[in-house]
Amino acid sequence: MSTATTTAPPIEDGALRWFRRLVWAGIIANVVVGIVSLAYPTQVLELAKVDPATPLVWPRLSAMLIMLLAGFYIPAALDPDANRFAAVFAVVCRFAGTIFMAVVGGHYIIFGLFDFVFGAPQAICLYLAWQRRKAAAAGRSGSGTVVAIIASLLAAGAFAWGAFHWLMQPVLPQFASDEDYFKYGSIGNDGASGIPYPIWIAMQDVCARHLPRPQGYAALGFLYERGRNPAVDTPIGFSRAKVGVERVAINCAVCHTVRARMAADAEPQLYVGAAANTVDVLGYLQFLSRCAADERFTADQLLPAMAAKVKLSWFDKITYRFVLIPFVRKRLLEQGEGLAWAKRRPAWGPGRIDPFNPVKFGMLHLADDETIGNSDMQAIWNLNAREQIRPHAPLHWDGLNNSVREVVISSALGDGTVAREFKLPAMERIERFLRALPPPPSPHRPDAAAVERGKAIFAANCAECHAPDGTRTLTVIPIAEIGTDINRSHMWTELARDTYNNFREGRDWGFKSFRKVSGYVAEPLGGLWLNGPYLHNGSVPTLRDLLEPAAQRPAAFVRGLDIVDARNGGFLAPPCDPRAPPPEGFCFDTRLVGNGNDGHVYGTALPASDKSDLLAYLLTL
Amino acid sequence: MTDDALTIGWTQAEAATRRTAYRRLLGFTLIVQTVLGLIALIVPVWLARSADLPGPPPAGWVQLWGVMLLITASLYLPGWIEPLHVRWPNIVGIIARVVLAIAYVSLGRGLRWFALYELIFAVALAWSYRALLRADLMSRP
Repeated sequence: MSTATTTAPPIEDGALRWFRRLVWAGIIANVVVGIVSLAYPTQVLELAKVDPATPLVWPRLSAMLIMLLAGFYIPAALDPDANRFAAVFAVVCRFAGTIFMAVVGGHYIIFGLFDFVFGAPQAICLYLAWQRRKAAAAGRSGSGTVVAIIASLLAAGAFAWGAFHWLMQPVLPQFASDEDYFKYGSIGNDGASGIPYPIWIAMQDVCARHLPRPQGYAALGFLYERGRNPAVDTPIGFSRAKVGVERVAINCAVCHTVRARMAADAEPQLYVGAAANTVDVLGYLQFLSRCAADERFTADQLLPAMAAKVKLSWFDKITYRFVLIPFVRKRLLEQGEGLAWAKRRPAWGPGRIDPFNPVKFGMLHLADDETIGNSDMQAIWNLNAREQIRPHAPLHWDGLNNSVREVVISSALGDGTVAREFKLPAMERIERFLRALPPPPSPHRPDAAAVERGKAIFAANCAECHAPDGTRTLTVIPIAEIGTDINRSHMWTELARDTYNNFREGRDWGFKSFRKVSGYVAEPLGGLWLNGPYLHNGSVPTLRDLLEPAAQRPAAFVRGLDIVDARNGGFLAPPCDPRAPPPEGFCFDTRLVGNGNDGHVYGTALPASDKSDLLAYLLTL
Repeated sequence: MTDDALTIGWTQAEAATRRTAYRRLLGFTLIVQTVLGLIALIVPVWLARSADLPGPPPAGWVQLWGVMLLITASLYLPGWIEPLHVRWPNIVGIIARVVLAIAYVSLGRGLRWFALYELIFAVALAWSYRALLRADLMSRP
């Protein structure tokens, strides 16, 4: 009697079954994403937070290709045993996509995560299935479970890292106009130093007592364009970008846009590229740290103020209460501690800044050398014209760099830009804009005959250093000759120069043009009517005062007013007593160190009539 | 030598010839695809400019196209190694070329040359693969 034996079909391993399911799921996902991307490419890109693609044929082509790719995965989904090569390649190709997108970086990593979410479990299942098959064939009990668990943990960690990276990449608003970009665009500091918008907008209410006047951020001299509501909108010089949450950070325009009125009751005009005469940067930074130290900087106080202006979900409220508000408070207190050195120096006041000591002590990690770099904010227009006057013309008051590109990038670094958020095209856009930005023509119309006489006086006394064809225009005039306050020049040291030229934090910034020069740059006078107060430290309120000997120049005057002084040049700057703060503006005391109004005596010995004629001409510049 | 033996030998030799011809043709297209993918990946801007691709395309999208061409080529490999036993990639590959050709035509500019290339080779591969399958069928006793 013979016994017929039948061979039962091999029972499919659970891991292999899951592999097939995952491959099918990946195929379906590819097709669905492909179809949706073909139909709605812009919306898909928005959802993924990647940059808009122009033209849209490229995302559409990619959508089509991922659908076609799905067709090649089918043999692996049908029978991975019979199609081992296809099974392995299905997994390998998912990882290739992941790696490519990880290398591209930014928000594109979301597409890598899409591949990873299928590729990693497929790889683990395939490994498990084939290990078990091999072990069974060899009569062993090993199943590869330990390896699979470790791989799963690693994969979960990698996915979490990728998702976090995607979430924390800044989502930057787009600006069609270069001027709008300059005023509101990101310079790459949003993640590193941006404050979550709901907290930032509520701070002006919760901490109103730390502002000079009950006007919100406008009390610090920040400028709002017509149609923008100071209660909820950001002023000029502040970008808004989403880095996890929407954040507010400063940009170049905060120090380089001015508001001017021709009379107290006149409509204010904004001039981009000019020195921000009203903006109190130190006051703003101190407000932030004082507010963070205030007992009111709590979730209980901030959340209602935030909710009054911004719609917050229950998840937002929990996140802000337990994570973001404590975190922001800590960061602002640290920022305040980092600025402690400024308390040992005279206040900057509106329209002034010490731009390089924060860089020296913070970014370059140099020791506090007790120097004072307080100086007037500078107009930054006419950069191309400067280079036409003198190639590689010195920039900054003391000419510490002569490369426009380096100055744009290093200024952004000074405002908090970091390597991981840095975008060279953004810097290049700002540079292009500033190179072509002309100064606004003077609105003053003095007596024409006086202007003509003044022009001749200018040619005889001033043109050598300030006319476009002057032999010394845009050169550094030694301190011994110019005689103005030495502190700003002393602030920039050889050590600072060398350290900045070798600065490599996050990337090689390629600086090589920082230099140490002892003196101040003889600037061309385009836009002079908007540049007051005058001298590098803004220590002389008007052009008329500048034509007087130092002893007769105002010892203390109000800075930060925006009414143009049509008679004297510059802005209205009434005298004041530093012991009694004025109701508006800031009492600037020239007797404090770094604020000296000595020097630049050119024209001070002219007869009164000549001074008057010269002033008439200067008012037209 | 009998007629029968001659016929079987001939059909088997014919199948082998067809197999070699198809593999050569497919191998050539896969090499071209790989080279194009690498160029797109390494010098996307140069490729975009030289091939007059629609745009100006952001380099990243051209590179992504290159990566996808490389991935497709690698997924095609089993079909090249065993064209008779692993038929799926060959069939999907021919269909994909036709679809891509249509897509390239609709996307325009320099991609139309790629469309022409894909269409020519889709037809050539389809004809060659069909001939291979018939020859293989005829070679069986």
